[in-house]
Amino acid sequence: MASINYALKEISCKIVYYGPGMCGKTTNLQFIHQRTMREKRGNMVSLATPGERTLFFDFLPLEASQIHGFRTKFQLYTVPGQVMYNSTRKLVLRGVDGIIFVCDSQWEKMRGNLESFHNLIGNLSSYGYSLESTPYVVQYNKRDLPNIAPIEYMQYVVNPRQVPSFESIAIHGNGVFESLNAVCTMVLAHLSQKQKAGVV
Amino acid sequence: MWNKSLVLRQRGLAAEGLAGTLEAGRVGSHPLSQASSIGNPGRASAGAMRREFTAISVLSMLIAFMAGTVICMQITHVETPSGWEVSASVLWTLEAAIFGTAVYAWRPAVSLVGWVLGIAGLTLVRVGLTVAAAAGLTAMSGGETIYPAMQNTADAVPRVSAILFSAMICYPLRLFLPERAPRRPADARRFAESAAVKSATAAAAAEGGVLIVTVKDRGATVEDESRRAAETYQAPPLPVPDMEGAINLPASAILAQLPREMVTEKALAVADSHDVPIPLEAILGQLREARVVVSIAQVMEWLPSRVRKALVQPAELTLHEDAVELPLNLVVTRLPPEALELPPPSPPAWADVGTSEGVVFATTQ
Repeated sequence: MASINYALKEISCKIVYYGPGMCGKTTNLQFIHQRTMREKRGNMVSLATPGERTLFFDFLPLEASQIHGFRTKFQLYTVPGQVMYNSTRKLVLRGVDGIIFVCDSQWEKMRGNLESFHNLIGNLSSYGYSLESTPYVVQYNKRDLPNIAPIEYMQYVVNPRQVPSFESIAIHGNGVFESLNAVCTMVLAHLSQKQKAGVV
Repeated sequence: MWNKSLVLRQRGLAAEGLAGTLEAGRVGSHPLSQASSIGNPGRASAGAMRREFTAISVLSMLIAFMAGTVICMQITHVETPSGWEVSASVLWTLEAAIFGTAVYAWRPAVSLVGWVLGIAGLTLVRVGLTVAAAAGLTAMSGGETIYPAMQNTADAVPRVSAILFSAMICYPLRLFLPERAPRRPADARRFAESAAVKSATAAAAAEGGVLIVTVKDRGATVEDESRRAAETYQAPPLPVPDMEGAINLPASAILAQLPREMVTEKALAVADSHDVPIPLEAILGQLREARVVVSIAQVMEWLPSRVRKALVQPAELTLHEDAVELPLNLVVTRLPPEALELPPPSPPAWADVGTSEGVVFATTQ
C-alpha cells in the first residue's frame, strides 16, 4: 500500500512486475537498474537459482521526479514466473500499488500468458484487491522474435478492456521505461483521487 | 578410500552451489571439515586412516625411535657452547611450546583435551628417547658408568635432537587426537545479516550495485488443487461474433497434431496438396482461451476424403473423446479481422490520469 509521509514529504509506492516464467520481468528490472542514475536508485537484489530463474523476487528501489513538492519513491518487485511458486507470488503482491503485466509474445507462450493473468487476478482477490482498483499496464515483450502473435490477438486474449499497453523488447530497453512511467503516473493519479475522496 | 571420499564431498558441494548459499553451517566453513551425507564417507575415511596407520606407521615409528636413540647416544657428549647454556625450566617451557605448536599444526581442529594429550605424548616420547639413549650408553660402557637420563635432558643439543625425533615418532599418532565439535554458526535466519549477503553486498558495492544471491532451489510444495481452483479467475465472456464461413488450414499441419499411430506415410504424402476447411463457429468461441481444441472425430469429418481414407484408427483411440489442439499461429493468422474485434475500450477509472504530472526517472544515456 502506498505510504505518504507528510513530514518528510515522501510518497512511497510498490510496483510489481507480473507474468509467466521467462517473459522478461527480471530483464526489465535489470535494464532499469542499468539506465537509472546511481543517486536515484538503490542496489538491485535478485534472489535467483544458479540458472538465473527468479526464485523469490527481484527488488529495485527507485526515486523519481518530485511531484507537488513530494519526493516519489517506487519499489519495483518481480515475481517468480514458474507455476509452482504461487505462494511466493502472492506474498510479493501484498501491498501492491501498481502492476506491469509482462507477456511473452511468442505463440507457444500464449496460453501461459493467459494462465498467468488469471493467476494474477486470483492472487489479488485473495487480498481483497482487484484489477478494478489496482492500476496496471500490459507489456507485450519480445517483439523482436520471429514467431510472435500479432498485437491484436494479444489484446484480445489478455487486454480486452484495453488498458494502456506497450510493445517492448526488454533486452534492448525498448518499451521498458514507457511502461514504468505509465504505471507510476497512474498509481500517483489514483492515489491523488483516493486522497481527494478521503479514502487515504 | 580417502581420495574417493574427498572427491565425493567436492562433487556434492559443487552440485549444491556452495558459493553464496544461505544454508546454515556451510557458509565460510572449510569443505574438508564438513560432514558429508554421501554414504557417510567421513567415518569410512577415518577407518581407512586407522588401517593405514596399523599397516605402515608402527614400523616407521620403531625405526624413528631406534634412530633417535642412536643419535642421542652419539651426541650426548656434545657440550653446549659456553654462553649458550639455558636453564632446565626454560628448556621445559620451550619444549612444551614446540610440542603444542606441532600438535596444532598437525591437527588444526584438535580439541583442548587432544592438544594436552598431544603435548603429553610428545613429552613422554622425548623423555623415553633420552632414557633409552642413557640406557644404551650405560650398556655400552659395560655398566661401569651409569648415564642418568636426566643429565642428558639438561643438555640442549641432545634435547633438541630428541625433540625432533619424538616429533617424527609421534606424527602418525596425530590421527587419533580428538577434534573439537564443528562450530555451528549462529542461526542467521535474518537474510540481511547472513554471511552470504554481506559478502555479496561487498562485491555488489564494487561491481556497481547489483546484489545477486544464488540460493538452492528446493522446489515448492505441491499446493492443494482445490484451493487453486477456487482462486482461478473466470473471465467474463466476450461476445462471440456471429460469423459464418471457414478458414483453410494445411492438411499436413492438422495431421501433425493427430496421434502418431494414426498417420501413415500415404496420408502424409496425400496431405501435402490439400487444405482442411475449419468452420469459424468451432474456433471463435475458443479464441479467448488461447487455444483451439477439437475432437478427433470432428477433424476426421473436416479432412478431405482422400486423406481420411489414408489414416488408420488405433483400437484404443476414442474419436469423440480424444481431442487435439489446432496450431494457434495458423488459425489466428487466417481469421478475418472482425473475428478479433473488441468492444469499445472500457478501462477502469484509475486509467484516467487527466492532467496529472507524468513521472520521470533520471536516466543515463
